[in-house]
Order: sequence, then C-alpha cells, then structure tokens
Amino acid sequence: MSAVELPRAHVRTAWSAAALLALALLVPACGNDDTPTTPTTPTGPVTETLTGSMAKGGIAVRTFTATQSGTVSVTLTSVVPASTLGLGIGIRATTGADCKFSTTVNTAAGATAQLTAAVDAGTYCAGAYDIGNVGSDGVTVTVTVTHP
Amino acid sequence: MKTSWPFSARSVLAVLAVVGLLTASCGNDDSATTPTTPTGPATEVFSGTLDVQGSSFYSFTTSTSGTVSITLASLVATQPGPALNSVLGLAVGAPLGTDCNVTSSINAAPGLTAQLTTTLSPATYCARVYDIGNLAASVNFTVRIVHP
Repeated sequence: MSAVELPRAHVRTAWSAAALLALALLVPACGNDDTPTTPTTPTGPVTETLTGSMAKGGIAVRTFTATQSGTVSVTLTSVVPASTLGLGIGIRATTGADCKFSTTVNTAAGATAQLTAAVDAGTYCAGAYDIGNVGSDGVTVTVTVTHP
Repeated sequence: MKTSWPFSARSVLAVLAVVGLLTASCGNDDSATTPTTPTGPATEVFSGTLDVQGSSFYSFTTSTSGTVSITLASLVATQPGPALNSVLGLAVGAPLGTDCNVTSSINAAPGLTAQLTTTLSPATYCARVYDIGNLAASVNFTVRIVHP
C-alpha cells in the first residue's frame, strides 16, 4: 500500500490559508478594550450636627462643604435653657472665624428646618447667634445642617 | 491508502508561533503619558462696608480662560445679623486707575448662588459692589468670587 502525497503547491496553499485565517481571527479582536466601567453611585444629602455652648452675645457655627448645588436645611434642634435665637446660613470670611450670614431667621428650637437656602457647590457655614435673649450663664445649642 | 496531512509539524509550529506573538501584542496599550496636574478653581472672599451711594471693588487674576462666578453672599447692618435683602449692584470689569471699569453688571439681593457669571480670558479683573439707591445706612457686605 503506498501513501498518496499531495503536491507541494497544495501544501503551501493550505499553510498560507491557515496563516491568513489565524490573522483574520486575531485582527478584529486586537484593540478591543471594552472594559466595563464601574458606575458611580450618586451621593445623597449629608446631615451634620453641631452641639455646643453659646455665651451671652455669642455665636455657634459649623462649616460644611456642599459637593454639588442643591438645598441646605438648617434646624435649631435644641436650646437649653429654652430661648429664641438667630439662625443663619452664610459663608466664612477669608480671615477670622466669622460666618457672614446670607439669610437669617429668629426662632425657637424645633424638629423641622426653620431655614433653607439654595447653594452652589462650595464651602459654607451655618449656626445660631444671640439676638439678645441669652442670659449670663449662656445656653447649650444643637444645630443640624443637611446639605448636598 | 494513506493520505498525508497537508501540514507538516514545522508548519503548524510556525503558525502557532505567529499566533502567539500576535496575541501577546494585542491589547498592549501601555503608552506612557505625561501626567497633568489638575488645577481647580480659586475662591476669594472679600468683605467690607458699603456706604449710602458708595461702591467697593476687589481685584482678582484669572490664570486660564474659564467661568468666573460672583456671589453677593451676605449683607448685614451689624455682625452677625440679621441678614438684609437689599438689592445692590454687582459687576465685573477691569481695574482702571483707582476704580473698576465695568463690563458686565446686574442688580441682585444677597444669596448663596452666583448672581453673576461670565467667561473670562487670563488677565486681572475686578468685582464691584455698589449702592443703586436702596441703602438708608451703611451695610457690611461679603462677596465670593470663584475663578480659574
């Protein structure tokens, strides 16, 4: 029994076809960098609380940063002993600890926000100040700020 | 009758070698890139006293072209409050002598979102706040400027 040998030309053609097939399969796949990206989760509003002592004629403020534009809500949650204070939202001066209030309201402590303001992304301050009702012993205040 | 496979072992190895080289180079996008240092916007705050019929301005310099936001943030008769909502003039321009040569202006009450935004090229500019006839007494103002 003798082997049947294919012609050399046939062998070369088959080899070339195989190589071309390999290239055809690889080229479209090369450079395909469709790497899936992790979607970013939007962040919700942040709530910060300030609790501190306020002297007669004093002020108690907290600085916060809004990461995006939105609405800031400020709640004078507690004043002990009870007293009506000024409540405000504003921005810090370049120097010093002053909070330059943009909007203010005189209010007693409560459970719902007494003051709201629209803000751009940026750094702000909010807090309470004596409008003349704080006694010589001062008061303990709690202010809650909810911001974007 | 025996049929010879048209590919010799050497041919198969050669094709496999080519495939291997192509696979190794595929997706290799390690192109070295020069890291760029991100430059964020600058925030400047200027405060002062505005007299009846008076004006005040503050110079700032932008490093690149971009959006400039000017906010009349606070207006109070006495610190810290209560906050006033008088409408003042707010403008941006270029320093000229001892004043500010205004190019854009609006009338606005204080707030925490920019009342005046404009696109400026790199240069030195000025933000101006002025009484448009609504003040009955001097007030303390605070303006925030965000610029590139």
